[in-house]
Amino acid sequence: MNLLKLSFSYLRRRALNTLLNILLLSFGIATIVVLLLLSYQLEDNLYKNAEGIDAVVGAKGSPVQLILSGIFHIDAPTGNINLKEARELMNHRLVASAIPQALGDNYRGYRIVGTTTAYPERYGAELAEGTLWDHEFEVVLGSDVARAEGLQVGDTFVSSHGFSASGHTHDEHDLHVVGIFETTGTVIDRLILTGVETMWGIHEPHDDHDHDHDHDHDHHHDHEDSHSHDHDHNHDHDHGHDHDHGSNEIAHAGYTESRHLGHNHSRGRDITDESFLSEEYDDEQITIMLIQYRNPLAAAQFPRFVNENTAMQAAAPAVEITRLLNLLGVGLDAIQIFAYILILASVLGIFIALLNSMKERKYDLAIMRSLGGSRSKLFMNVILEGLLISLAGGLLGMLLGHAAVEGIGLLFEEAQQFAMSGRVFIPGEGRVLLLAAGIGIISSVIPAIQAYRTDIAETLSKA
Amino acid sequence: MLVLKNAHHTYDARTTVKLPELHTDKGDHLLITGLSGSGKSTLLHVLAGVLRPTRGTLTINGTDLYKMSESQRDRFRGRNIGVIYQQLHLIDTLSVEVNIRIAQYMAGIPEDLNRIRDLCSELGIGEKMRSYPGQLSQGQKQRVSIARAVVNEPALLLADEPTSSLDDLRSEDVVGLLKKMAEKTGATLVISTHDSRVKRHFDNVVDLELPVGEVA
Repeated sequence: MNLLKLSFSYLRRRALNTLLNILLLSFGIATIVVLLLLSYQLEDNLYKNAEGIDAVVGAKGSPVQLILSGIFHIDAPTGNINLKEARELMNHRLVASAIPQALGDNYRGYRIVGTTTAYPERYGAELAEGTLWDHEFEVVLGSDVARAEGLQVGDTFVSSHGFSASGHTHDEHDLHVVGIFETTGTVIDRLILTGVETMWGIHEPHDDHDHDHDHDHDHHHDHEDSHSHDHDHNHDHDHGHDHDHGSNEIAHAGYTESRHLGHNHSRGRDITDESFLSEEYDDEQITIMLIQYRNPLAAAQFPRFVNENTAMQAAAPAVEITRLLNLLGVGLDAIQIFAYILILASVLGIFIALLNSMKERKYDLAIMRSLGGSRSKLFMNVILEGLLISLAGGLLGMLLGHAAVEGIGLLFEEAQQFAMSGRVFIPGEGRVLLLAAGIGIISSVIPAIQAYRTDIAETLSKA
Repeated sequence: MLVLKNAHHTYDARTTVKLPELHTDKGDHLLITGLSGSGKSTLLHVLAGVLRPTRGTLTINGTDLYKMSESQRDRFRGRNIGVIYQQLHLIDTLSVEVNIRIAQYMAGIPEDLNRIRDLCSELGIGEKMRSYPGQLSQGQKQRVSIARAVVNEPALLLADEPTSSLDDLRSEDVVGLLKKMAEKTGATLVISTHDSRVKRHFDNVVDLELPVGEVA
């Protein structure tokens, strides 16, 4: 026999009422836990991915969009920038380093990023197996991509145009998996990395396919909405390459030939981290550059310089993320108010249930006093009942909250990109349990005082 | 062992109940009779240690009950006074066994399941220990109430109208049972009743008179 058993016996008597109060409270708590987990993981993810990136340079447009597409790879890019212009910016005196990104293709929704090896290096991505790319059409997979698609070193696949899995397929170029990164917990896990030239190569019309003119035409038409590879540009491009057409053809011939033999030598041109800067690509475009400043002063000067003097724009991740979180914060606050209303309702629910229960059991209380039970014992008995309900509601709420976040992470593609997980525990949750305990005490203190004040003789003589 | 002296209780400015002088020895059996309104309940509550009389002293085994602090009195009451109320006041949410055990728990006495088991079989409710009060007959409930009152072997056993709802045969049974229980532990038994059938079992009877000028 102890107070806990006694409290429990009363809760069991009004089991349905108890269950409803537990559920009501657990919904409120679950909502708060979901908000905590989502905002914590979102913020953590945003800042972690943006770490060490002072500015993102891309085509003019929405700065938030530029950040989202350049750092987190979740929105469409604002457009493309000319390599020539980008190269000038790379040599700007305020820029310590610049990582190029050529975007525009995906494999089953995973973005393919044409970049330099500095990009995975920035996120500390190490190879789990294989090597980094050093030829056109060689790719290294992020760990999530490899796992989800079951791809291994030596496998090949073809990319799709655009950013969703349903885009047009570039089946004229196989991409060769040469390496897979370890899990980094950053955006790299969900990307397919390759050299910048690969992205240009994929979109290059091939002599082999010249007879298939309609196809080519469609292909370029597709490009116009997001990649701005217009006809003029392509025309110029073909023109400019006329002089080394021969060598190109040789390389390509070798490539097609080796396909029949196996994948070992099925490569394009050799590429290095600098090779894409060659003047022969002057007419090509990239999408985005991730900039690191040489000194803190640049934060004031560089974005202004870019925005005023070039056709590009520079956006600071720190500023844009803060703005984004502030915007999001309004929505989160609204949901949080809703959660607190639920919790308030459950406080009332528990309070009313206990108050009614006091009426029902005033004789029980009097008899317990008569049997020698002290006032404080009865007081604790009622408080304990409130605590049992609220802690059960709190624990159930946390369970529901984590399950909900896990579900959100599994069900929604957008959440997957932020690697949302319900199996993460954060310090704020301890406060949620404390909140639940507080609710139990607050809602039971008045009924408990009633129990404390039970007048034995008066109660029993009224019977 | 039980001494009540010079006691009266005033409920409000007008209603004053004068309580009789009582003096019993260990193991005495005392019957308190009187019409309703004569102060039987007040006397019982004072004796049970749950109602402090406006004036007067109650001594049980040499302890002045109403000189103690409230928590001391709670403790003393739990260990030394057993009460069988007219409305039995069993706790519906607890099983028979726990209803009895709670007397040990509330009094802060180590819980002794063997004692409870023996007591139950002695009172003929040994089979009902796992049942809940709602599943018992009135007679069985009364026996649970008796078990709860005597489980801590109190020095004073009080019963309020224990026979009021019983037929002649059962009434005899219950009075016999109460006497037997009191004798077994050497307790002073005090029964309050207006049931004349009980009188012939007791030598020691205190008859409360209606206070002058009061209308019942």
